[in-house]
Amino acid sequence: VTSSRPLRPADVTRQVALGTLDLSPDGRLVVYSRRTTTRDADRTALWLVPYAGGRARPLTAGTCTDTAPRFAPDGSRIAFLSDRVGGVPQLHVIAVDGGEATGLTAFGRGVAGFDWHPDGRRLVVVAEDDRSPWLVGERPDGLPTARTIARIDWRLDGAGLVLHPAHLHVVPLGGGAPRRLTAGEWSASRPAVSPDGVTVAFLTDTDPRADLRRGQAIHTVPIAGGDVVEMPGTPRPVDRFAYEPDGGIVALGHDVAVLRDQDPQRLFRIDRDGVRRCLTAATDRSFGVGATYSDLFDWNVGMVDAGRITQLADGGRATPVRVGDDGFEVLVAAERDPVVPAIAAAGGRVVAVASVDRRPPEVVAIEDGDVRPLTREARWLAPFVWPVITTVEVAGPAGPITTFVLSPPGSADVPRATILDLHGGPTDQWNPLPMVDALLLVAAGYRVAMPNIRGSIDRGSAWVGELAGRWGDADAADCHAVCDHLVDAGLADPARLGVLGLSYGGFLVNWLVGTTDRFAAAVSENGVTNQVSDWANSDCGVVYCDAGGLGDPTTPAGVELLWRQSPLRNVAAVRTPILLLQGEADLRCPPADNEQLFVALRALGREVSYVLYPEGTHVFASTGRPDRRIDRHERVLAWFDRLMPA
Amino acid sequence: VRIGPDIVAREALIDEVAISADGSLVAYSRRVVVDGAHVRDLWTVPWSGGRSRRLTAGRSVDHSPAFAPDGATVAFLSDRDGGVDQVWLVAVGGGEPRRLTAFQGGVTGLAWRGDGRAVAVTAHDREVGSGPPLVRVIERLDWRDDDTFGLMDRPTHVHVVSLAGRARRLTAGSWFASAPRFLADGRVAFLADPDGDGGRAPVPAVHAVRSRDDAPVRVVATTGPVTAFAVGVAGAIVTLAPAAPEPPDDDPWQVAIDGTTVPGQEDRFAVVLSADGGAAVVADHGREPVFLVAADGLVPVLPDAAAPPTVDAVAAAGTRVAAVATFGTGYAEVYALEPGRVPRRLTTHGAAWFRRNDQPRVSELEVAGPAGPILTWVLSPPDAGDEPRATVLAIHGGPVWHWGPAPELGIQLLVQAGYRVALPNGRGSYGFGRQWIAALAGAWGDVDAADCHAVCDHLVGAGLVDPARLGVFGRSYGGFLTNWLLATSDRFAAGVAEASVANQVSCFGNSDCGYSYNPAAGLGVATTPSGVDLLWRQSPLRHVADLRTPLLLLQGEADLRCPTGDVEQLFVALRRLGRDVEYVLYPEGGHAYHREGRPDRRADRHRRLVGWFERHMPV
Repeated sequence: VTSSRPLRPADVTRQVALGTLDLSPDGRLVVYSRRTTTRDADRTALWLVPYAGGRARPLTAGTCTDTAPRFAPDGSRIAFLSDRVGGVPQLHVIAVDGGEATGLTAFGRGVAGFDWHPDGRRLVVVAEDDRSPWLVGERPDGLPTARTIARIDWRLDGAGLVLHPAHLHVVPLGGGAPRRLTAGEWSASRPAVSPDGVTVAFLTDTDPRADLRRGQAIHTVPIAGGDVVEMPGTPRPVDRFAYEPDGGIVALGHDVAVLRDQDPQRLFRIDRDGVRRCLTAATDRSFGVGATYSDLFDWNVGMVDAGRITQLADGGRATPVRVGDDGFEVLVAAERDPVVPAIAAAGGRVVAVASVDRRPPEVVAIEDGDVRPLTREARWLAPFVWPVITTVEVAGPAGPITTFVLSPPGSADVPRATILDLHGGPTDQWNPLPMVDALLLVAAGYRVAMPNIRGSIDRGSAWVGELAGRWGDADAADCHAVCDHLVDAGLADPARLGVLGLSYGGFLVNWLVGTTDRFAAAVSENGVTNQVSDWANSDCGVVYCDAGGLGDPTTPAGVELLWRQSPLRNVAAVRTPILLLQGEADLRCPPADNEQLFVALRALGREVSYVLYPEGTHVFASTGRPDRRIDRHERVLAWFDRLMPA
Repeated sequence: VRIGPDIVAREALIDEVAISADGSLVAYSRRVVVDGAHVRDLWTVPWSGGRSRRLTAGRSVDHSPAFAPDGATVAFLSDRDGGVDQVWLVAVGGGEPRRLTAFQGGVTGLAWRGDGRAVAVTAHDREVGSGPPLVRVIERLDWRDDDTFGLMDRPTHVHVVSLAGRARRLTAGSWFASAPRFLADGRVAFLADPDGDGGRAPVPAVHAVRSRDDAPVRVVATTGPVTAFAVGVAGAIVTLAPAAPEPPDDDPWQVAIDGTTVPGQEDRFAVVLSADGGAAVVADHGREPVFLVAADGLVPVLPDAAAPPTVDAVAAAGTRVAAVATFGTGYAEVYALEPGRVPRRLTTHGAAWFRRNDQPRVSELEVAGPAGPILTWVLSPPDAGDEPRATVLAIHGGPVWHWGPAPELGIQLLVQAGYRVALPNGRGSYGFGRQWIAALAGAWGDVDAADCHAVCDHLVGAGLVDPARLGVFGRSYGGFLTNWLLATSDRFAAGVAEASVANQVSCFGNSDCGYSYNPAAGLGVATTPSGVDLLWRQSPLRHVADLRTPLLLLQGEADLRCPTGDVEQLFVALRRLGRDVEYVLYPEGGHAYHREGRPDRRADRHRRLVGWFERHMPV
């Protein structure tokens, strides 16, 4: 046993981050994606590990990004996406028992998703068209003459400009040209082939005003080619779905005309004849969404499930559950604090990428309510101090606020320099598993408090709904309650209280410093300062502001509501030194918003630093170029260290 | 012959000029399109008249010609080797250019020493990287500038370079020097604000150094930001600047010699000062007359009878002046000017492309406005009579600017397409006295809109405009007013707003100069509740629900003056409301992309500008 040392920013190059996984049809072999990091780049490889236990071994070289593995129906091969050639993801297949991967596609703009046909001889892929109906003078080796924008969904954070429709194609396994299944000025996603092999289901919204709502629904097209039709009984909007063996579908989504933040995501069953039933109506929690937050997982992978075996967001946990026709069964007890972003099932077995007992994630088998680790991928953390994580239920103005408090081991219950760390969303939740940020702050000697304040999805729709149209009100009150509690309990030094947050968390940091002087230092990352302009500047502003009840600037009352919830309104009162971190390519909370706060603070002569990360998207802190992540971590630590040393 | 947007491929643009010290020879650069890209070559022409002779002929951008004191050599900037500007020298008598400098970051300005044995330059400190940096740490307000994007990463400083190519640095620091000029005592003077921003806009002043060991010292007392300066006859320091450090819009830019304002400018704006300090252009009443600069007053160079001049550049040697000018409507050529003489056209580049078309008819109207007469130029197709026609009201930018009768190419193409175009100089325009500008301060959307309506009413009343086919177009501030007019009136059949303004509150932070310009123009500050009220009151977005006119929004993606983050607010709101709106983005386009952008983009922009009106209000 080597003596442990504090984690430092440069140690992110040691990180192994688990992403997605799949289980062979016979339930004997697990394939999972594994991201590693050098200073220059992240790389993702696919690894295999037997369900029965044994050594994990690499399947793909992982020189670039190999991801989205799916076993063929007969289990002999794995299809996956890799950007190893040409820098855009293409569909590849590799034999499980050895040999090199073969590329199956050469779409100019890459492949975004796929599914196996049950005959195992072809796959259905979704790929962007080569030509855009909205670009003028498109040229392969340079920027076009003009981009004509007629809809508000022309950009998406992480993807950049989305001006090429994405459509379905059938790709033969044995080689040969893909056959196009769909076309038009709309985009398809998440293809799934029916068990009888006749139909391809996918998500889209072909309405000419689809850009103004969140309305993706299940559509179908015959695999032989034909008309696209909306599936009778589909809920709307749908996040993802899966076929069941009888040809029916289970879908995660909503059944509402206008989505609100407080509407929990539910699981629906749609029979072949179009009869729909909500399977989770009795549970006031979200299923299969927003339940995992820690970037100890690979954030490049969204949540992955296996139809009825999915996640339940509750109390900060992402609990694996099996949903039946009448209720659901918890697969890992809540006392174990499961956080499970990816689940796969086959042959009666369930495997997952999971954290339990507030320990770093592994690939696990879920058996009889317990987990059995199949990997030892958390070894990279072994040399470093792991924080003490306690759960505090703080009495808040509207109810208990579950707060995870991270402390350096051996630190007594004495007042320490403490950072209030605020999650994004706001419809999200802290897990009992920390972020890399929090690990670094604890390693530097800080206590870190991660509260699930009103707006978080950890305790049901009413808790979320409390925040609707009340940003800066309910949430700020909860933050003060948490700080008061930590100070009163003798855990936080009131003179060395700092605040940190990303996205909505950045909004709240901006708001707090404009309404209180209790914080000694603040770091706001990709936050929000002017809701009026951000309504249009954010890639999802129009749709999101509807969902969050924030307002709409096309009416005077809407402007007033948006402005009332804008931190910029209080800028003259800001006295707390603030570090503004901003990804230059962030389309969710873009520089155009954050720079308004910088310019105003600088014009007022306040202590402010505005740090731009080129190419940085909304979550560059976790997914950006590693040298930029390291620089960012160093600046966060230095900011707090200078203004409120631990 | 009528020309259309494709004319961009044949355009020859002249916009800079120099003259030899003895006044015998004129040099200018000409921009043309080769293989889809803009290139510039240098030409000379005798001031007394004669054939234009090509001095350089690369596929490069050759510009900023400067005669050596003996007139035998021209120094210029060119990107012909390595893609960044360096100083090159070419003999007037013939021979190939040779490169003088090798600054990795590129040269931004140059001037000859009196003995002709060295040049002073300003150059970027660092080279342009191949990719973006790891991080940009912003701690000043002036980190970006639409005219010089990326500058904040790369300060510009003064160096002296001998004709043997030996370079000696004279200044250093995290600030920007421009306009290098030798003083008679051998020191190098330049424009800079070395003290940093201090939370305000830079206030450049004339400084000088002898060697790198010196701190820069002020050499002339100025209070406002100096935008141009020259070392004139007998070493006089000639500056062009407004009076106040944070000048309000009506504070006129004026020519001063050694800190004393030259008499005769009244309260007019001097809009051009020659690099030699010998000539200036002072805008007046929709015209841009040229003057010789002398301590006892300005000396007019143009006869009163000349057609209304529009002047882009001047150079002077004694009483001999060379100017890039347009008289009446049309496109610019180089002219020789001298007091008391009729202007002589020296070049014929325009004949090769622009003069082939049928020239529009120009009329000058004084429209009775709510606060006084509004000088309005009306351009009509040559075949148009005085009948009610489909008409476009075109609003100039600034707002502190003006219309002459020779507007930008896109507007001339509207006339070619058969539209009447009205070019009003409403309140806010310069050339009509301070009061005419001051009236607009803090009253955007109020007095200016009233003036526009007065002009429209007058033209309709005079039977010149078909009221059912009245459109409006503007760029920059003119785009603001276009958005405003459409949101507060339904009289227009179509609108085109380019690089415009929608939300003044966010623009305070989003525009490169919003933090300084907005308070100076009385628009307000985003840091106080009353300031926000004032900014919002002057924001077209406030009235978006009432905007029902089809609107085309043209926008350069790299515009830092009126950025996408602002204009897209109007687009998104109109789309949400289901209105007829189109938002067209031009990649890499700065605020002046309609003039400086890639030729295919300029042609596309002209096509859409004309096409939008043709679709919604055909001729």
